[in-house]
Amino acid sequence: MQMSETAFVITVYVLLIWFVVGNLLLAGLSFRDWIKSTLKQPKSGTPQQHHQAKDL
Amino acid sequence: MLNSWIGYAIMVAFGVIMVSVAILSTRNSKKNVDDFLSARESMTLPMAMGSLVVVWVWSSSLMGAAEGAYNFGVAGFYMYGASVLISALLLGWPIFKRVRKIAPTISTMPEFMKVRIGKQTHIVFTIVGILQSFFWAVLQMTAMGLVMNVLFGIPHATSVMLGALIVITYVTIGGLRASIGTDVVQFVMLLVLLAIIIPLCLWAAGGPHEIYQGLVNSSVDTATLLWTKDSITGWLLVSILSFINYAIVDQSVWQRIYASKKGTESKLVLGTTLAWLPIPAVAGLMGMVGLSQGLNVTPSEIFPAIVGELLGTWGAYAMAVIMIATILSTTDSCLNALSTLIVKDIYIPYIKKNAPTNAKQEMKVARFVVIISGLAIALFSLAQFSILYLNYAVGALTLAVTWPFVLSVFIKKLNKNAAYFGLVAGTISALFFAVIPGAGLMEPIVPLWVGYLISHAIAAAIPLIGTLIAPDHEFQFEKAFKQEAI
Repeated sequence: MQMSETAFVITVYVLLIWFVVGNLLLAGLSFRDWIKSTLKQPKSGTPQQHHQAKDL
Repeated sequence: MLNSWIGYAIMVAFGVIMVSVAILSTRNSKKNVDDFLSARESMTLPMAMGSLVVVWVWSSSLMGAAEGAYNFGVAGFYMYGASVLISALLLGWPIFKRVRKIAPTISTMPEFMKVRIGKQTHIVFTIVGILQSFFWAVLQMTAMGLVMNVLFGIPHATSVMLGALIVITYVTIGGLRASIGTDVVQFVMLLVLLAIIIPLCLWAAGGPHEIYQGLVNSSVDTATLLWTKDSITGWLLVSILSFINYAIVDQSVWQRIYASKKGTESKLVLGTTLAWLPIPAVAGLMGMVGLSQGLNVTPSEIFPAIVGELLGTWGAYAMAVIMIATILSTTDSCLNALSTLIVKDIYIPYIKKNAPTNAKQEMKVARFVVIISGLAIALFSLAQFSILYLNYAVGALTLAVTWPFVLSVFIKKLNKNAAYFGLVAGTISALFFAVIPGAGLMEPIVPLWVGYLISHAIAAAIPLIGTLIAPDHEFQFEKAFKQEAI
């Protein structure tokens, strides 16, 4: 099936908006959360025995 | 050729930034091996999503998608992404939700199979998982050597060793937390640069109308057709059948699922898929720009070549940063996954026999495994294996584990022996029909996509037929995984 010139142009603009807006939003949110998590005060405590997962 | 000293400076700058990010990312870590390898439930949804997007974006998502579009035209908008879309929606979404619910304490896919099917299958899954993570990392480091050599003239061995040193250092410092933290930073770098260079390249090429006219007049007669017989059999079907398991067989993905908060699996898989999909599509668009401009280069080099052609030297530097971020993010995830499989599926159950050990001692072992695995990856990458061969070999290796795993998640009465035989027969079939002909070592008996289809059918049919003939007793998932956790 042939893609028309109009469909091509619309696809390019929709893709660019989806790519730039969607991913920059996600990049911003993930970077904000990473900064927050690194600025949080470390919890005090002693090293724990292994198989921590098994206590869940 | 760009200035090689700037190439070294970019790599050193990456090293300093990533090690600093790793140190910051581990400030709140729990200082035990489970947290080092699994960072269980410690990541927010956007962090896990951003990290998963860069794990899915590897050199092939950019270069391979652009190459396909350069060869086939507008089909490049969707043919690369279709495989991951199908894999994430049909397999990833339901499986991650179910496995996380019934087996909340596991860290790896082989651990699930050990409880569900048994020790024999666990060993096969562990070996496949280790080989997959190892060779995917080798693939990335080999690509690093190639990119730095082509762009800056830096010797292959020097780039590989420098790249390996950076990754080993930050993964040894912070394990999975460092891997996810650096992923977030690499994601931001990658996205910001791509968001600048892609629109600029389109503008420099005259805009979408000019690009379309270029495609109409290009050397590929079918460049404006959404599908042709060649593009379907030579690209779409091979891509779908070889990557149908992409979302579920990679240990790096499982680690990020378990590192996210419980109950967010659906949002994580759907959000990541939605964010990832336009990336290979815009990379494909760059391949179309190359085709419309009549650029005559090796198809696999079309993405960096068109950026260099349209944007000049600074565009080439931007491409170098994009490629390093893409390669390092996938390599660190593979190294972390590899270490997790070795520690959780070999060291703890078979060497330490599950005996409680001092947390500091276990952390030392985990870090030692990271260093040795990283050095082994670097040494293998020096051999400069064919990237294409490694791609086929790794894809086919994981093909056969897919269906025994999927069926074992959903069918309570699955015949365990049949699942094991499906795994073995599927692997042999994949080697015969896909790996060896794919690598060019023998003439293909059937087209590559048919070879993949036969191997999928064998790996799925044997467990299903075995279960229909002789079903096992109903497996009690919750009870079995609770017992394992005690």
